[in-house]
Amino acid sequence: MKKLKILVVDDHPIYRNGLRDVLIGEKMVRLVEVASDGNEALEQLGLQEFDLLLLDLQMPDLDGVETAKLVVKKFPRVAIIILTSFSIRKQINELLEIGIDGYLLKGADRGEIVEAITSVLKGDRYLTPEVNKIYNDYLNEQSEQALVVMVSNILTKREVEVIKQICIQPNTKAIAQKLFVSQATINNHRYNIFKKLGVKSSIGLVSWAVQKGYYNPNKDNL
Amino acid sequence: MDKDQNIAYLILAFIVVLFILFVFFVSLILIFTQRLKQKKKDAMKNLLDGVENEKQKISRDLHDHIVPGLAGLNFKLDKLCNGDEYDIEKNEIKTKLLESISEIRVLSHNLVSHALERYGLTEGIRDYSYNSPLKQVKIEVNDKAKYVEINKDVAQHIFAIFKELHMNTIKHSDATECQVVLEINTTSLLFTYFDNGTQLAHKIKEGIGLNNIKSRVEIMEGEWIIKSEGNFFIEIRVNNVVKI
Repeated sequence: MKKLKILVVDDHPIYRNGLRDVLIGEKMVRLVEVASDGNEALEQLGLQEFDLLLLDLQMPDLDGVETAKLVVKKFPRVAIIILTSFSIRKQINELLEIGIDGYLLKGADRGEIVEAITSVLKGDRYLTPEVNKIYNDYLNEQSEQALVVMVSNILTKREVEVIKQICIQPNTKAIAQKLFVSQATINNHRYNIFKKLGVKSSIGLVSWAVQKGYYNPNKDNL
Repeated sequence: MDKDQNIAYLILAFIVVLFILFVFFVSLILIFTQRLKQKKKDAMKNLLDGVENEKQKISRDLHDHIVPGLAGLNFKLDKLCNGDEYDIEKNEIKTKLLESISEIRVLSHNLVSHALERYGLTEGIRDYSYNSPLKQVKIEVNDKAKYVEINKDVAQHIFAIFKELHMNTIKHSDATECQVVLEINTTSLLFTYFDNGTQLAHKIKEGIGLNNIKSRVEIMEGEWIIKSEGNFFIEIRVNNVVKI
C-alpha cells in the first residue's frame, strides 16, 4: 500500500503539532507537514504533492471553506477531511457540496482520525456520527420544506381552506354555508383537490392534511 | 384715552412675552426629554452591544483556543500511551477530556450563533431550534425573506429576542411546541412567536423575562403586541430593516 503524504492545516500550534506527532507514528503515513492557514496550505500544495488535507475551518486570512473551494478546484486529487469545532448544519451541507471527503469534530481521537483517513482513501465519505445525524436531519428538513412549497404551489388558497373544512367536518352543505359558496362549488373544489393530491377519499385527505401539518385535530375544530 | 391704550399695549406686550417664554420653556422641556430618552436608548444599546461583544470574545476564545488546546492535549495523551491499551486511570482522564471538549463546544455555541453570523437570521433561528428540547419548533418564513438581506443589528436583536423567548418557554412554560413566523419585506420585518403552553403568559403578566425584549424593541424603534391570556403570543414589527 502506498504510504500517505498528509498536510495538517490549523492555526492552533498545539493542535496541529499534536496531530502531526500522532499521525507520523502511523504505519500508513509517510510524511506529515503543517500549515497555519489557507494561504500557507496552498503554497505547500504547489510545492509538493499531498494525498490528504486535514483542514480546520476557522482560520485568519483564508478560512477553511474558501481553502476547500480552492483546493478542490486547483488540486482535485487531494482528499479533504475537515477537522473543526463547528457543526453548523448549513455549513456542513455547503462543504459537502464543495466536495470535501470527510468531516470530523475537534475531540476526535487518534482511532477515529485513522478510521476517517482509511475510509476516505478507499473512496468513501466519512462523517463523524454527530455530524452525520445533523446532516441527515438537515436533508430531511429540506426535502419536507420543498414538498410544502411544491404543495402550496399547486393548491390555491381557497382549496387549502376547503381542505381544512373537510377535515373539521366532511358535510358538504355545512362547508358551503361556512365558506358562503354553493354546494356545487365545494364539490368542484373537492374534485380538484383529490385530483391534485392523488387521494381517493375524504379519509385519505384528512390523513394527508394531518401528516403535512395543514390540520391539527387537537387545535383545529368547529 | 392714551393712558388706557398704553396699559392695553403693555398688557398685550406682557402676554406676548409670557407666551414666548411659555413656548420657549415647553420647547426646552421637550428637547431635554427627547435628549434624555435618546441618551437612555444609547446607554441601553451600548450595554447590550457590550454584553454581545463580551459573549463573542468568550465564545471565540473557547472555540479558537480552549477546544484546540484540549484536543491537542488529547493527542499528547494518545502518544504517551504509544498505541498500548489505556489503563483505567488514563482512560478516565481521556474520557473526562473528551467530555470537557464536547461541553465547551456546546457552551460556545450557546453563547454566539455562528449560523446567524454566517448565514443570517433565518438560518440562525433554524440552527438554534435544531437543538431545542421542545418536541416541536415550527418555523415559517416568507419567500421574500430568503432574498432580502437585513441589517445586521436588527438580525442580532431579533435573534436575541427569539432566544430569550425560547428560554422562557423552556424554563417557565408547560408548552410542548412553539412557532416562529418571520415575514421580511423590502421595508419591514414582522416577527411572531407563539407557544402552546399556558404558563408563560401568566409569568409574563408578572413581568418575568420582558425587560430585555422591551429594550431591544425600543432600540430598533419597533412596535410590539403581547397576548398574555391563555397561550403566549408576541408580535414585533420593525421598519427600515433592509441592509443599505
